[in-house]
Amino acid sequence: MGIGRREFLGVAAGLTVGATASPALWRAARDFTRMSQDPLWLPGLPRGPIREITSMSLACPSALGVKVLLNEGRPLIIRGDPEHPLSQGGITPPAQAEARARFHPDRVLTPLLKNGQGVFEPVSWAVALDLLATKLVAARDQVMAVGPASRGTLGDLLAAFLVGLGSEHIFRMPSEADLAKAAATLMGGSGQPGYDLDNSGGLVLLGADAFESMPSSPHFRKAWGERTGVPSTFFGPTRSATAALCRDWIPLPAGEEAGLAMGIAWHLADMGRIAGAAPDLMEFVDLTRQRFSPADVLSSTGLGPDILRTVAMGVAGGALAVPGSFCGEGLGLAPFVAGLALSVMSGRVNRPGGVFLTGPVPGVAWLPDRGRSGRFGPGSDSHTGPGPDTVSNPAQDTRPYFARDLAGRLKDIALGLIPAPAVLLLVECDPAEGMPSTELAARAVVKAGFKVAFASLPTPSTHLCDLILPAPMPLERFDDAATPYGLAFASYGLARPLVRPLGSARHPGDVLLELAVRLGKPLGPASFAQALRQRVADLEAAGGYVVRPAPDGVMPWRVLVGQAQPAPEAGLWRALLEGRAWFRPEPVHAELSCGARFLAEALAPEAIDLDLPLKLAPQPTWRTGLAGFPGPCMLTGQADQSKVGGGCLMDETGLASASGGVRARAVSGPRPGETGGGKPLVRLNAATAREARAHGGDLVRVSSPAGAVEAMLAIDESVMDGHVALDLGLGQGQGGYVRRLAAFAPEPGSGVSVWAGCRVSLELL
Amino acid sequence: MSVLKWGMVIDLDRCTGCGVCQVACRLENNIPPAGGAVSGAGAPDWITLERRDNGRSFPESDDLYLPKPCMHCENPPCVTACPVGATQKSGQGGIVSQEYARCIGCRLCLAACPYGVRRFTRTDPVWPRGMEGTLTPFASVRPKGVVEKCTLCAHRLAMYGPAAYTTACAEACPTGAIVFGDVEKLRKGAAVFELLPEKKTEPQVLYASRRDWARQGSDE
Repeated sequence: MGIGRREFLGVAAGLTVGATASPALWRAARDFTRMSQDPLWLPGLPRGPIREITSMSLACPSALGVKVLLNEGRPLIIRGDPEHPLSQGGITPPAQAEARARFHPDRVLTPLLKNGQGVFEPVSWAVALDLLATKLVAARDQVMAVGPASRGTLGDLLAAFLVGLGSEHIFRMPSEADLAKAAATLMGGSGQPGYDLDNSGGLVLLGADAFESMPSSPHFRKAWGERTGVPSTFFGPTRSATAALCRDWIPLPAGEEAGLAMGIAWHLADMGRIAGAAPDLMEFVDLTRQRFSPADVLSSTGLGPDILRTVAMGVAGGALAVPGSFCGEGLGLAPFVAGLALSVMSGRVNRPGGVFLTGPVPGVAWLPDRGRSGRFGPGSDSHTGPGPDTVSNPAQDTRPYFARDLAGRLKDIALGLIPAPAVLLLVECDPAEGMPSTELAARAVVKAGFKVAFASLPTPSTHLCDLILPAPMPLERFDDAATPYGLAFASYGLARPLVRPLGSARHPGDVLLELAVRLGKPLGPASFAQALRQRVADLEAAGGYVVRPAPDGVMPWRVLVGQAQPAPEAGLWRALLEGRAWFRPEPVHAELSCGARFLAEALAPEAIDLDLPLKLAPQPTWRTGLAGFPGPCMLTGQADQSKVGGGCLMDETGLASASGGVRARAVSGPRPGETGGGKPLVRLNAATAREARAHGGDLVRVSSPAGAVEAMLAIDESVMDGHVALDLGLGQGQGGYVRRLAAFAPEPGSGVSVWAGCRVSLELL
Repeated sequence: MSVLKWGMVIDLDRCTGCGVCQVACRLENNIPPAGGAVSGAGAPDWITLERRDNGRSFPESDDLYLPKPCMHCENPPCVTACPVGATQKSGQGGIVSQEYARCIGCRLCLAACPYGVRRFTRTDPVWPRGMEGTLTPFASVRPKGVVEKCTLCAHRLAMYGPAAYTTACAEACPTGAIVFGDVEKLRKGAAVFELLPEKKTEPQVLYASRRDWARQGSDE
């Protein structure tokens, strides 16, 4: 039977109409389109409800309150907590990166032991702890430990552990907080200096990097961002992020911060605007008259008397003078003493809008008590342990911290002037990159008999170690933070684990507690979480309060100006776990001196090496990470920008068309965190580059007595004459090359290792 | 009664170039860390951060940071240029949308945009192992071959409603330099200006600065 033409056309027409009318064809077409636009190999989006939890950031040293968005228990995104007094909705890149940081491709997931060929091999925790315990027993008191710069229970626990072993070689990474505290101690006070920006009527930053590298900078940014009309001046060699938020930037050569403060003090005295009192006030004024006259200061800093007089009038009128380094490190005690002396002269100590001396956050009482009871130290190892007159807990050591100069100690070890420790514990720190003269620091680490690092990511220091113990990252662990440096009131916050640690990571605190038990010198708490709980219980009994959510909350800076402090609430542990913060805005009473005798010794004129005509100006940036924590670049993608090229070296054509009202130059200087063709960018202004016979894009070598760095030169007019700016990166993974150049020397009078204003030379390659 | 127009005023005198806005945008909108290969203004970010100066030498130099998202223009050239209607001017507050499923990757919108704020994805996004678990449900993952850009976090308008609507960048800015809202209400004071006024695009993202050179351009 054949099919006729009519039948065929009828069936074909029917099929066509049927197919057109049927949804199947259209569904197939839609699925094909979706497949082409949303391929199966692309990751899918999470489904289900999003839960919001408040906590505290551990990646950022600012103790910021954060909101963590979770989906099925997985942290997706971190936002600033608008209810938290320190963040008020603001946040920093390290805190934002916490969720992604957990999946860093290089993350340490299991204990790693270096074999005979120098290659790391995974081992079990049992093997790692057995080996470490054996080494610690053999080392006896020849154990040295370095902890993170941040203040918290982990550092205290590490100190107690060392004391238990009979060793006093406990250090933490250097910070301005320690220097400021040592300066206050030297001036006859106690407590940690903090700066009441919230209530100040003006701001004079004597080099202090208050809006970038200072731990309390996120709070300060929030406080000062609302007050752009208020007079504010930043002194420093580059127009940094801190300068961007100030009304005026006045170029100041690196390392001249103390001379600047003394020059302002001269004008205060000359104007008769001394409002404060100090036992050595006249001696201090005489010192400024003898050695810091306007002509002297003009010679050393290039700042004329008119500028200093204007600033001095501001200080006399209530502006807050904040001492510090433009890069957050490298200074000695003298700039802090001289800077704090300005507040003494103007009567701004422990006054609203001035400098406050904050007391330590109470707690950890169990550490010194146990030490005195002989549970570790004398009782177990009397010939090496602390005697009755020694401080049993170095974490609460009342001696000035400059007695614990890590840079100097590492240098002595590297040069063989003192014996290297038999065991070196590096707890979440990276001295091989975070210390000045990195090559010396690395040599010191190598010389130690057995090196152990507690780390979540590989660093230059972990590469030098024999054993790496994986640590949990933020969001995976309990931890605490006490009073970020800069705050004018004591604060305390907690973070809790929201997810299980990846791999077999264990909290360093738990590992230390277990080791102490193995060594027969238990520290008390069964776990780090229990140690925190004990500390919070002590804190609850010590007063202070937790800020309630708006609108009932009383901010701690309002208490400083007389608002009634709320009564303490019960259930502090629960409140802290919910991401709220404890505050105690009660200054420590002090009658500070001006530190005149110390300044007379410390501020002796120094010789200038004519072979090193330039000064080093490291520039910190949040973009490249924080000491002890991973940089956010790789995790959030900002490192991609570094591949673009270096600022002025970039192809401007694409961007020039994008310029708008701000069209002076489409792209001028390089942005923080940028590199040039894989090399670090060294930034000079055009006049300095001309003197060095160099041009933008040249390959150059920057040299100092400590080392040399090859870099690509970029012209940047935000750098003052005679200075070489390099990104510091605030630490790990990004700033090491700057510190390689940082030749340091002991400060007269204190012995603190100083490298601010380090001199360098530049040559074309 | 004026029609509500969502937009921003960015105070350049309060921007420190910290990059928080960029990171917040990346996390909110699932921009991968590796970025993938993109064409546009270099980085895959939907909000870029450029450094501008007054063109003078030290010590007369001055500079600032310029955060630059999509301008969500009143007269968007990209919408006119798009042959398939993948980018539209929304009736809800004037947000210029971008529909990836419709985009054919012709890049005419990139050429038409005078601000250089659109990105073309030349490769599929790459996520380090495990990190795809941090993807948010707020923005789809874009395949290669489409154009993407700032959406003013339009998903938040649906999630939170107009009263609580703000963008991720404005919410995270630690100095409060980015202020989000009805742009006609935010447009106050002589310091407020727009980029490329001669293009007559009437952007809904405005800037503010007390510095004359920033508002008026160089005198060179």
